[in-house]
Amino acid sequence: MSEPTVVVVGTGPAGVRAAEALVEAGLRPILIDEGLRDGGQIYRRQPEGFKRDYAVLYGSEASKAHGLHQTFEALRQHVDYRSETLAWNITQGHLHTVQSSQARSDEIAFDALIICSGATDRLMPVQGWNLAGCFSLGASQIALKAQACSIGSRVVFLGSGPLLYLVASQYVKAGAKVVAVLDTAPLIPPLASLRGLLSRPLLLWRGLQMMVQLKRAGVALLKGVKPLRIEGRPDQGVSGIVVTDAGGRERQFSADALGMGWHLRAESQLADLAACEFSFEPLSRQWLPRMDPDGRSSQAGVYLAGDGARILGADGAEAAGRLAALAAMNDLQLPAGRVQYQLERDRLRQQLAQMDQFRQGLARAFPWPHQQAESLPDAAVVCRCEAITAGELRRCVNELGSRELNHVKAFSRVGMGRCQGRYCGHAAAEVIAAVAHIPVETVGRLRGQAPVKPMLMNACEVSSGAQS
Amino acid sequence: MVAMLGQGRKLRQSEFGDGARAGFCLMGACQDCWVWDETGQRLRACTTVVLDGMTVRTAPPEQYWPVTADLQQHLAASEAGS
Repeated sequence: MSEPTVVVVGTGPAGVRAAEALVEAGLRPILIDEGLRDGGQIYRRQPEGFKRDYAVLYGSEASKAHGLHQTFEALRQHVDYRSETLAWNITQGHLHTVQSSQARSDEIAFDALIICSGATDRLMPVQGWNLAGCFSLGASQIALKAQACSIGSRVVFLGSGPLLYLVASQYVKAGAKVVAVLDTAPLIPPLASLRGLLSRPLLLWRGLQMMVQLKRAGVALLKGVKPLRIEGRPDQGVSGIVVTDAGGRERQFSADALGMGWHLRAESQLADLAACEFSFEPLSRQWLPRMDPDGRSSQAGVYLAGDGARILGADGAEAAGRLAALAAMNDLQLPAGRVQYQLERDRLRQQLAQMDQFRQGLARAFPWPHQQAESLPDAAVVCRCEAITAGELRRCVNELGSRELNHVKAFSRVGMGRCQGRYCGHAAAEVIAAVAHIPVETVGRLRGQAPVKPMLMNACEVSSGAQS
Repeated sequence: MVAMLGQGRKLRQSEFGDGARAGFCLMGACQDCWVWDETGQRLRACTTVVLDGMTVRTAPPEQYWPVTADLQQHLAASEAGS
């Protein structure tokens, strides 16, 4: 029997650990990476020629980042690594890719596909978030990590979740001026969140320490805020933000840049194109691909790992990547993979279960602020790509009778722009649910469409040429 | 992108009349940082490395259809055929 073709999409923590398990068992997987270099977003590598060391770049996670990069270097000659390559479609056992710098397209027939596509920031619009100078929290961190830059000279961070405090403290440490950290989570976390948070006490401790450090650095730290509007002029960009604090008082902060985000949103388009089933997770109020504890999707031969399937963070992604690869080899009936799967399965599952406890704690302590969708002014832009407002979405419900997200998309173009609903999809669903007075899960989710990102039309043509 | 934003606060104008834009996600997902090179080829600023002598346009050229190598061939072939 010839060696099976196993394709891994993504070279973040999940993808690299999956590839490592495959190589250990003697396979030569194909690794698809949209980035220029491995590492994914969390352990993103700085461009060639930058010389900051690991401690400066990755802080407390330096040894993990180093470990992952080293693993990748060691794997490099044992894998078919394709960087700057976008996996843009999946059809019947085939993955379609396009390599940007050489305009090269391929159609790869796979025996097993492990999708480690990661996540983006999850956004709830605030009036004025389309002004120049508003960035996602992830973007704020990338500016610092990849380019040693701050997003502005006076920065406010708004949102909720661990990344909010992490990015703010990284900015302070790097010497940037952080005016305020505005958290929409309730002042006192619900009791139910504690059990989850205590499942990883070290992380909880680190989080609390971060908050203390921010306070000491003179950063205004507000919890329980409700964002009202981001101020600024269309031609000039952001000049400040107005929120109400936990006591209901209006507070204004001047800033020339704003970083915002609420946890992460799984990049699940490829799983969708592979026809994997999805289910709604009430706690985080998002649709996620259905999978078993080892990462098997509902489609035979398609495996999911990392934040693209469950938002467990980098450590969880490493474990999930390895487990998915072992499960894939077990299912392919490869003897070496089978043995290893039996050996490690229980330990990895247990690790993931513990991380999921923590995730649930975080989701309860720092909830997705779905109520904001209801109070969003009609004039506020929901879709940044095409400047579609909350009022327009409400009109689709009230006047045109829409109750379903893809239906509203057809009427209003929400989610049809160049980001393909990545930044408006969840919020648009909440706006529709609130105005129609129906549960958000009945509004549905935007269907994934190929190509998953904009690309040149001729890429398809090149593909047929390359095949002949 | 950093090279451009180091010089000013915006990258381009929104096509939908709501003002200047300066990118949003920096990870190649939001497509808010589109700029163009001299030939009209679209660049995603956040994933494009700046090079010596590079020219970048903050608006698409008037005839916004990038003429790629294969399109050129195709056009030449159809012209020859006509």
